[in-house]
Amino acid sequence: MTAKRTARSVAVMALCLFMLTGCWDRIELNELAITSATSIDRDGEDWVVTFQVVIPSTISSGIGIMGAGSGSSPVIVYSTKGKTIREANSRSYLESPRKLYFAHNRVIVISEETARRGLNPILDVYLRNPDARETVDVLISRGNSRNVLEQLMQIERIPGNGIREINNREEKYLSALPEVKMYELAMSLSSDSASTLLPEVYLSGKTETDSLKVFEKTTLPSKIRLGRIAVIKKDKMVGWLSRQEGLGVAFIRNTVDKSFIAPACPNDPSKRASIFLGSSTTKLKPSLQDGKLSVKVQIKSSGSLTQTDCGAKDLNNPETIAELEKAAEKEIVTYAESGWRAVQRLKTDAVGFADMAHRKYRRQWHKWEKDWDSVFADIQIEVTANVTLSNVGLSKEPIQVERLMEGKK
Amino acid sequence: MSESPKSGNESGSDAVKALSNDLDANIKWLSGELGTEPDIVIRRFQVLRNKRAALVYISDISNDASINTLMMSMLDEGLKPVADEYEEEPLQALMLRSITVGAIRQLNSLDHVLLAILEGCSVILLDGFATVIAADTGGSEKRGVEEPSSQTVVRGPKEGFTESVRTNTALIRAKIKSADLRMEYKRIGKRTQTTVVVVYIRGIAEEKTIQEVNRRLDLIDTDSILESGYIEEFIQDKTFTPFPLFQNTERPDAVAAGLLEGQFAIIVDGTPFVLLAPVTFIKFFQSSEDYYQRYDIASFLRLIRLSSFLISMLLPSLYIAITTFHQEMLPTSLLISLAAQREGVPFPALIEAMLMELTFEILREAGVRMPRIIGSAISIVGALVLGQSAVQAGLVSAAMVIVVSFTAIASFVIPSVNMGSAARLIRFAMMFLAGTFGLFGIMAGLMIILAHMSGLRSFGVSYLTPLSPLVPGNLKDVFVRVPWWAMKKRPSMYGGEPTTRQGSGKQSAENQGNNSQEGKRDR
Repeated sequence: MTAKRTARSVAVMALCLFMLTGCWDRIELNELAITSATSIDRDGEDWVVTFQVVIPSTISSGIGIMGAGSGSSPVIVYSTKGKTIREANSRSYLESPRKLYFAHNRVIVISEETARRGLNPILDVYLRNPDARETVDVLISRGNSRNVLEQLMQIERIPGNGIREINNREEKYLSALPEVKMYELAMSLSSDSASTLLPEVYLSGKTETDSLKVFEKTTLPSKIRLGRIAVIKKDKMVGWLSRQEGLGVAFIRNTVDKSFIAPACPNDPSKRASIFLGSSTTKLKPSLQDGKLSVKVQIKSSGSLTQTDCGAKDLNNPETIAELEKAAEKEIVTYAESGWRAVQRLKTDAVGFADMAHRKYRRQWHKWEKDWDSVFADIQIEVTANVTLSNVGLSKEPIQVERLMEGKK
Repeated sequence: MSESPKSGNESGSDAVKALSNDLDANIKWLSGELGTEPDIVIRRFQVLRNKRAALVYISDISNDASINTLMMSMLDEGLKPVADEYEEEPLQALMLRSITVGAIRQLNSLDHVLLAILEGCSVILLDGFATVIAADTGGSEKRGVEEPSSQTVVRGPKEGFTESVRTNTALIRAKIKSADLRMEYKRIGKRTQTTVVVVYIRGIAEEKTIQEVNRRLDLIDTDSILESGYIEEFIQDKTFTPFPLFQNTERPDAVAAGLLEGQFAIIVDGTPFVLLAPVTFIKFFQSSEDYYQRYDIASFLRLIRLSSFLISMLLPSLYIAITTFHQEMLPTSLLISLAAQREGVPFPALIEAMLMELTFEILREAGVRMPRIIGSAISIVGALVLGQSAVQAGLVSAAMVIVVSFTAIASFVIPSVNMGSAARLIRFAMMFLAGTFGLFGIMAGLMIILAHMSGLRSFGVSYLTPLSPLVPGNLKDVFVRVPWWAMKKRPSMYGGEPTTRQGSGKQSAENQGNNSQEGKRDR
């Protein structure tokens, strides 16, 4: 009796399931075109979107996998054009046998021209649609960005993935170029300073590496490299920073994780030592004098000596270390100041002082807010650095062959 | 459970057919009932000088030696002079003086006599008496005590139950030498008259539970009980559930442990599988070896078993859900590798998984059913043809073969076969849910299973105890097993009075040694 009723209600519920469109986003793996990189160019008023699509069978090798094997290109690149980005995307159905899949898209490369004309539509596309991830790395290319996607890469089979890895390693060990994800871009553009930095990716070399044949040689005709740093203000790109300026800005922005500097020797400016900075923190101390904002930038770093060419100096002597530290401090201050001059030149608050000012001087902020650019132009900064050399390596003196031979006698 | 309550199967309520005083009439009736098969022996002889008597037994199921001794003793008696006092009571005289068998009964109903003969008793009929003596001379061919084939251990007793109920009760008695160990005998099955024994320890098992199991057993109205599975299906609390509500074991030590925790056991003649109840979900993941190994490795293994249960239930469905709905959850390189393997596979992941799972189930069933000699053939066919070749032919992806094999291996980790089959059944339902609704479907399925499990009872004990309802005191033997000395109290979940298992305050020798002066002096 009850069993019958239970059976009937189960049957009714099961029938209801058929009314739900359960399989709406069911898609098999071999119906996906996994996009590893996207690039966006402008052609007049139209948008040109380029996709770098992975061909799985050429990448993974194993038994029972149909496909041409490792002899063919691991990715295929094609572009579509449309009046909007999404329209261009949708045109891919005209030529792609599979559905474009963006969840594993690693980088989006935006051409300089596109960036100078405005990033708003790109941000909108990425933040509006659930299928595109906001954790994609954003890079700027000089010239046509499609060329970057067409470039094959050494070691990494999937270039999109490789670009992301380069960007990631660089940020971790050099800190000059930031790795900026889409959501970070959106966050910093919507902050008070309304500006940010994006890394540049470009092709170094004469011709493109777009065929597997070039991998028969040890030297590639061209390579994907990271270059300068693009400065974005509001949603438009306003200019470039050199890597040195970029590192300086990174010091001010407190985004330096690890880095290398090569300060001149204290006793012989023509020679240089090399210092690996293991950690660095920056404190900003704003102060207000006669309505003018000035900022003390205090950089505190520690690192180790990885190379020295500074003549015969006893590294066991604290004074020697102190001199080296002073040289390193000077170098860091130089970097930071050159970075500061660059952002002032571009009239862009890429160092994020607006947020600091807003927090510190809430009352004045309402006044400054209206014309932050002119306030920013008047800011004076004073950079101080404090470097601690915690490690000088295994030898207490610089290796000099003549002296080693003397020691033998 | 059973729709119309029926009176007991024992012929007690039926009209008792009494024996007659006449020996010949009795013998005639018996031979009429039993037929004239060659194994039915009706031996006439004289006893107490001139009393006519007869011994009736079935030779195939009787022990020849004890019948010989019995006959010899009684024939001997026929020669001896009889004391006067016995002239009046020849039946008493026989029992007192000449029956060499220990277990004897006096019967006076023809049905009981018939049953006694069919059980292997030798029945002594005496002329002029409507009462017969049934002497237990039973003893047919028995398998010896061997290592259990279904539940093996590395460390622990290697003996297993046999098909003989007597051997089985003996094995339990050998483990628990307590007067409180109770064994209640029953006969169930109109035709088979199978001996069913309810075993429990008085004072540990809850009395109400024992009454309930007796009530349920008495309600069984069937003509045959050939295995404990019959009993299980007749008396379990709920039939429509994939989860077992009885534990079955071939191991006397497991039964003894269960009895000592407050469970009762049902031994059925003719099968080495003994039922244990009430039972909780977690009981199916406890191997008897857990209690013989060190507690740390035992706890680790138990966690492995629990995760294997989840793997065995969910892995194929997770694979289906993630590869067809949630590709973004995979690491990129794994996604590309899986996508590469799926190139050219003609079926959707769900069909692919179903194919492989069904193939495995067929292989497994074939492995169980087929003669052992052809065993190697199936492994070759299974491993090479269905595994490697299916991948090479592009019918299924290599990843799917890995998923199916791992699932299969995981399902064998669960110590209890019937819980393993529960996981197998649920696996298929989950695969459909995953194939149609993705992870959402899996989650919904798990919720339904959890709700179902919370509603299950085994003899009044909630299936998920001690997790739900939460009984913190009983958690010492759930996910981990704490050292023996720390389990002071018997788990209370099976009802009954909570009793202590270890003396209070006594801890491991290590702690005792540290606390007492004696320990130091010994060194």
